Amino acid sequence: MVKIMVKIEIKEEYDIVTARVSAKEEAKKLGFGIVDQTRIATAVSELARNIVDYAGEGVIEINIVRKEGVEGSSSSGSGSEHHGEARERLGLEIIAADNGPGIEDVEKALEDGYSTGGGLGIGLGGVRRLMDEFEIQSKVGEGTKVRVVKWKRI
Amino acid sequence: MKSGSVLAAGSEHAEETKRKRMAERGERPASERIPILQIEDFLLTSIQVPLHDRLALQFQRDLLQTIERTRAKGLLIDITAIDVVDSFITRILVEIAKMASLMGVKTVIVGLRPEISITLVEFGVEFNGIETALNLEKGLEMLRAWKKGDYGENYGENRD
Repeated sequence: MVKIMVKIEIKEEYDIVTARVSAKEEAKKLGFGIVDQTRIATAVSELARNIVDYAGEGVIEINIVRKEGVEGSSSSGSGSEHHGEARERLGLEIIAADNGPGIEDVEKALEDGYSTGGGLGIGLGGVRRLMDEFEIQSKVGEGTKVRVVKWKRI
Repeated sequence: MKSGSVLAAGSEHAEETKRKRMAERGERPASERIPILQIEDFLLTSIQVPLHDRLALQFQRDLLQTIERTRAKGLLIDITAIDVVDSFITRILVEIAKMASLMGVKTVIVGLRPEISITLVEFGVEFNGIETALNLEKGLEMLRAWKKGDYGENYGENRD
């Protein structure tokens, strides 16, 4: 099982560009189309910006993940259903982690229009909409970890 | 920052420090300015580099100063070369349009690529108060019509 991993330290605004460019490159290498590349890069840009704005520093990891393809057509593909043979699906996993102040009300942070910073307040909710999987763990005073995955369409 | 300064001047300490730091990090010292051109009564600018925060804010200042200096009536911002429009960039563009509007200037963003449009809609970003056009030509057409005063008749109203 090949697992390529890119790790980008996020310390200042320039690192946001580095992170999203890497994410887009990895997505392209993996064979994602231009729209998915853009979704992924936008999500990474947003996550990296959150790190800079709220935590000061943190890390973005980009991993290749795999799963058997049949049941988990978790993406937005509503119409077409695949029956039968299990095919391996490839995906790109992004983990954004920091040891910042943490988020007090995670549910609220996912609502559109909510922002404690100067942003538009669509950040996390928007990231969730752009990706197929979204998990967030946050503890006040300890930090935040967001994990998102985009699966390649079969 | 003082007003009335010549565009693309400015090599202050901050610039120097930044350059030094970039060199340490092995990055190329990009000329950190986005050119602003004038065509008829309008300003034309094309964002060709990945915008980071400081460059974006510099761009904002440059644009407003150029508007003041040239008394431009309209502003065309071409984003064909931008491959990611996140909430920060959106905010910068919306702010530019609002500020320009306060100075009597209409802003039209042109060149949103299909993948950007799709992502923006899913992401939930709204270009409030910003007019968009498919390309430079359409954008220019829009501004000319607006300047002539028949903007509302020829193009759908989209004021905030």
